Amino acid sequence: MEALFQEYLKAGRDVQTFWENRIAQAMDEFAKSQTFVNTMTRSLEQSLDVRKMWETNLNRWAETFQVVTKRELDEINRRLYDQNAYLDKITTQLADIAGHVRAQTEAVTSGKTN
Amino acid sequence: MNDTLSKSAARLLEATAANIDLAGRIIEKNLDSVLSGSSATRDEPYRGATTVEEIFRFDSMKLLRYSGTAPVTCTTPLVLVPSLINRAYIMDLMPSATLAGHLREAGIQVYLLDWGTPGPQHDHLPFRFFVDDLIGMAVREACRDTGAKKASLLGYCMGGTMSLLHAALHPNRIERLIMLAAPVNFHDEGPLSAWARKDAFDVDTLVDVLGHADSAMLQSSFQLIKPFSGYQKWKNVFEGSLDAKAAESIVALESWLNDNVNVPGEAYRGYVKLCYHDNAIRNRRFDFDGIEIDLENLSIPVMNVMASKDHIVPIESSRCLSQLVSGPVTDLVIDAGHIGVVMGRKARGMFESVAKFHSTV
Repeated sequence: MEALFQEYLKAGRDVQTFWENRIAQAMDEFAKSQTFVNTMTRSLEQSLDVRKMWETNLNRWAETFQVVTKRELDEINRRLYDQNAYLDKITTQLADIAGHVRAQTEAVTSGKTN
Repeated sequence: MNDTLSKSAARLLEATAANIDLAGRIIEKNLDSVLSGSSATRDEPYRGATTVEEIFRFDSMKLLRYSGTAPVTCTTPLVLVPSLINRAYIMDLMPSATLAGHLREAGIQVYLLDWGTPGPQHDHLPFRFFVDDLIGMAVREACRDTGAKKASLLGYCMGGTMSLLHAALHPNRIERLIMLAAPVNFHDEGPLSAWARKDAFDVDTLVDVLGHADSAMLQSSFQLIKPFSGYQKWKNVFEGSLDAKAAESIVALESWLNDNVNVPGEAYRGYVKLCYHDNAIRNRRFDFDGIEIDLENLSIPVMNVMASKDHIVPIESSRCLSQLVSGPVTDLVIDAGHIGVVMGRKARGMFESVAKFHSTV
């Protein structure tokens, strides 16, 4: 009886695994299908449209009541970032110039001593 | 050179004046918002397994040097370049599964380019800034730290594609290139290719509206590649008798998988257009943000590691690299998935091959 029960459980699990694998396979295929791509594209476009409308209204409201928006803060953050990038480039250029000057000085000095 | 310098300085002063003006106007409007600061600028601790030391920082980007017990025997530094989409510590996830730690113990001075957490201040930066400037800074600092003239790059996934582009832009600065599960041909049989092609995905609207590619959106699209895999994964965890090590590994991996970052908008736009829309790299000669790149000029040795079970970057997507560059390409296919290639049990043999490839400089 026990063996029969175990056999029954195993058969049940096998059937479950079979259908799970079939469903997984079908869903993997569906993810690549044109229908899925179209649905996903449409859903993304709609959510972006809603977001755009919301932001436009929010910006109008912020403009009316003279409130700082996140966009303005982001703008100043961006400009500061660019400045850092320029500074890094200038530092690199200065280091290059210093390297050249050092090399020239060494060449001149070694020329004199020889 | 002096002329360039004075021009840059003038531009900087001009930008500073404009910024002070803008800051003044904003502070006038609302002081509190300015003083509260942005969460993106907060510092985050490194979450990898190996001890690291920060040797360079540029805003949120950091260059980390790995510490190890083995003496450094290889003079050329190796810079690890992760993807912009995920966190960098996947290269050093656990003591038992760390690519960075393994390479360090093989006597290589290893550095990790940690992109950090991008904020809105990075949204305007073009893809080329990340590929050219930021990787360039990492290579420069790694060379300065070791005293070497050139460095090697090891790029994983999107980081591999970015490393390839950087090597093509500056072949004289790069000694060797190692690509791990990095796509080169973006028009493949995989779902990502079908979803991100020109007629299906309007990247312009997305970036114009959101300013960035949201991490939740990217994460859900990765989950949708294999929609049933989440169920199957947790069912296996539930049914399998998990030992402590396996449980630790699952927790570490799941934490990493769900620790996502937004991708800066313009960089994302540039990447999608260059790679998924135009599939430009496959053409060998292409225009990268105004610079003509010919991959045939890339003659440095390249190692291309591919994973046979990779559902994100199928093998066909990377294999064509050997037809595009003129240097010797060593192809290596391992029996693993996209994440297993960098931290799985089956990747250990590959770690050895990578160490050997890099050390024979």
